[in-house]
Amino acid sequence: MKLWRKVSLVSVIMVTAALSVLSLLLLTGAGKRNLDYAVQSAVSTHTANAVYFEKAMHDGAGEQISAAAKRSLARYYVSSLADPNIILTAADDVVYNATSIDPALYLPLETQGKRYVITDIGENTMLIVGDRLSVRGADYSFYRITDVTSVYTDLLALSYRFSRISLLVILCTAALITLLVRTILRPIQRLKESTSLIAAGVYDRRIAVDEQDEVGSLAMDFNVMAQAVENRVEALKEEAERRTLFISALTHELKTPMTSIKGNAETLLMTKMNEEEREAALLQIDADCTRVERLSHKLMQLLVLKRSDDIEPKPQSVAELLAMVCDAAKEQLKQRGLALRVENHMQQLKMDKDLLCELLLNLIDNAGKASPRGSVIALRARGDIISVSDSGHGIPPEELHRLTEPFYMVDKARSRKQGGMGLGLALAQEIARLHGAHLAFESEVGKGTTVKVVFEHDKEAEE
Amino acid sequence: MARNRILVVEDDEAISRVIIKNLIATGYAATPVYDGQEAAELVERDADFDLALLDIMLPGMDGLTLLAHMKRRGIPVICLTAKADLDSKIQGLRFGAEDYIVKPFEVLELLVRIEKVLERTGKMLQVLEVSDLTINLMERSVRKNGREIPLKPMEYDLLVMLAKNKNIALSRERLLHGVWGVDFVGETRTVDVHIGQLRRKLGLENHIRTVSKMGYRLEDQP
Repeated sequence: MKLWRKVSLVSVIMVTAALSVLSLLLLTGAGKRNLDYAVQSAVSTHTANAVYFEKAMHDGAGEQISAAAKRSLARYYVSSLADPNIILTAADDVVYNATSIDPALYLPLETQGKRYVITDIGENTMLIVGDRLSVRGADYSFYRITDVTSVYTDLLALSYRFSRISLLVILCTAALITLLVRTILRPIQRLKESTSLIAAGVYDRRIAVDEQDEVGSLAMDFNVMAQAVENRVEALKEEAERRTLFISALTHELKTPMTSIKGNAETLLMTKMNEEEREAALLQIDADCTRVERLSHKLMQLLVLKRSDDIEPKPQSVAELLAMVCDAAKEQLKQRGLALRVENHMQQLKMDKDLLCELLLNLIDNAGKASPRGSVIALRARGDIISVSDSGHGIPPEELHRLTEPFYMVDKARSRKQGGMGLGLALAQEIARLHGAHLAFESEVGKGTTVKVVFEHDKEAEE
Repeated sequence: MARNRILVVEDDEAISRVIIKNLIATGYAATPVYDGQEAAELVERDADFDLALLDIMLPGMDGLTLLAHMKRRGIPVICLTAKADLDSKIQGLRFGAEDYIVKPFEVLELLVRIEKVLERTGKMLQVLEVSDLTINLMERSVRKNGREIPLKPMEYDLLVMLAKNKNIALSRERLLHGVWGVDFVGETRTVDVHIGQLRRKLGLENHIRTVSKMGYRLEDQP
């Protein structure tokens, strides 16, 4: 059952019960009052009649009068009252009866101390008031019988009216309550509709909040939750998309060496070749395998870095780091005929030395690949920035933002020839991220490139 | 000796070398180019190629632009690509490529596709030469040193398949499928018997080599 129905039903039941109790109390009160009034008026009339009769009989009838004369006299006095409700009996003899009732059936009255009794006679309800009178040696029973049916029929009619009015009131109240409850609960209905939509996947849905009450604040909280869900879903989508791109790039990257390995192997197996050609094919397969191996190694590194969020950078000497980098890069630079110039204005830096060394070596490797023989690569540490600059071919501005995408290469053909895999900067970025740093690129085609590792958290720590 | 000329536009030198090696071995004249711009300039000077193998992802010039370039000069193109998705295939074919082959590919598959495209575009040379044999596809005749040698139909078909893939080993299964058809229910013994006949009738004992685990190879020189 819906909430509004429950609330309405309970309210209507309560109103009905209250109204019923009230009606009952009112009706019984009114009935009792009416009856009391009827009894009182009957009793007072009767008393007046009895007093009159008693006095008249006392004055009019002497001791010596015969019983028959007394009876006639009594009849005379009673009839002179001209009351159609009086019965007078003396022992079993009915002296006078103005009513249509046979007194033998109902009288004498067992009053038991009460002067009246109410009893049903035929279809009517009768009030019988009675007294025993003793006048001059004769005993009389003096009754007055009044029809009080109207008291009860009036009460019945009143209760009918009451119930009709009550019913009307209940119906009106029910309609009003239902209307009010529905109005009050409408925001909950809206809340329900919106939540079902959001549950069904419409995450950008929000609930319009007008109310200031609990429902309003619930809706507000719900909106906050929906926002959180939407953000999370978006993030997951983006992540999934990045992953798909990464995998398709990886697949593509694997296809070149695979094609070469497969082609050479097949040729070795099927095609007639001389010894020299066979050796060349084998060497090529070997080189391609080395390439795949290096690719998988770099990938592993990248995956491990991506997964680990908790390296523990310790404050270490930057001079030592740079010395370590120089030492590691020396051999390769010599082969390429390049020189490295180091400038250091930094003392200490919170870092993982091995990872940061790897990052800088990647940057120097890139710089070396871009530089002509005989040029100089500069490695500078100053403020919060460690930078690597070259005077090589530079990078077109529209390519700068894609540099850190895995497998992205500005010049694919040249990069491949130099054994590049397009993973170096992706790796560098991950390492920078773990240090709370970011990479910034400045480049001009034909003039050279500067890559800056900007350490942000150090600045915050100092402030 | 007349040969079909094939232009190979592929930027990866290792892959290019493998393709060239196999094309030359099977009797094509093959020219490698490693750059899109270079390929366009070469075709500008010399459009007399029967077919071009074209890597879609090229430095220098967009593969699809180059494809249109080749198309204008009437050179049929087979696209080589690392992209296996349907979109790139449809794009390549819509831009006028005759066929499409996805890396990594099998050398034999590449050779079959080249052969089919050459046949379809009517550029396939009708005379094959292997060692001292001349096979005329139009006449269905085989001459050894100018003298015609009669062959049974299956022997002739087998010889043509070997000659079209000369210097390359073909497995017995492949030969069986290629000559007798996929529906043929028979054993690879059938191939061995016919190879024996060819060797005897044409004096190819030293030219049709049995390559262990691979099958048979018809060679120019013993």
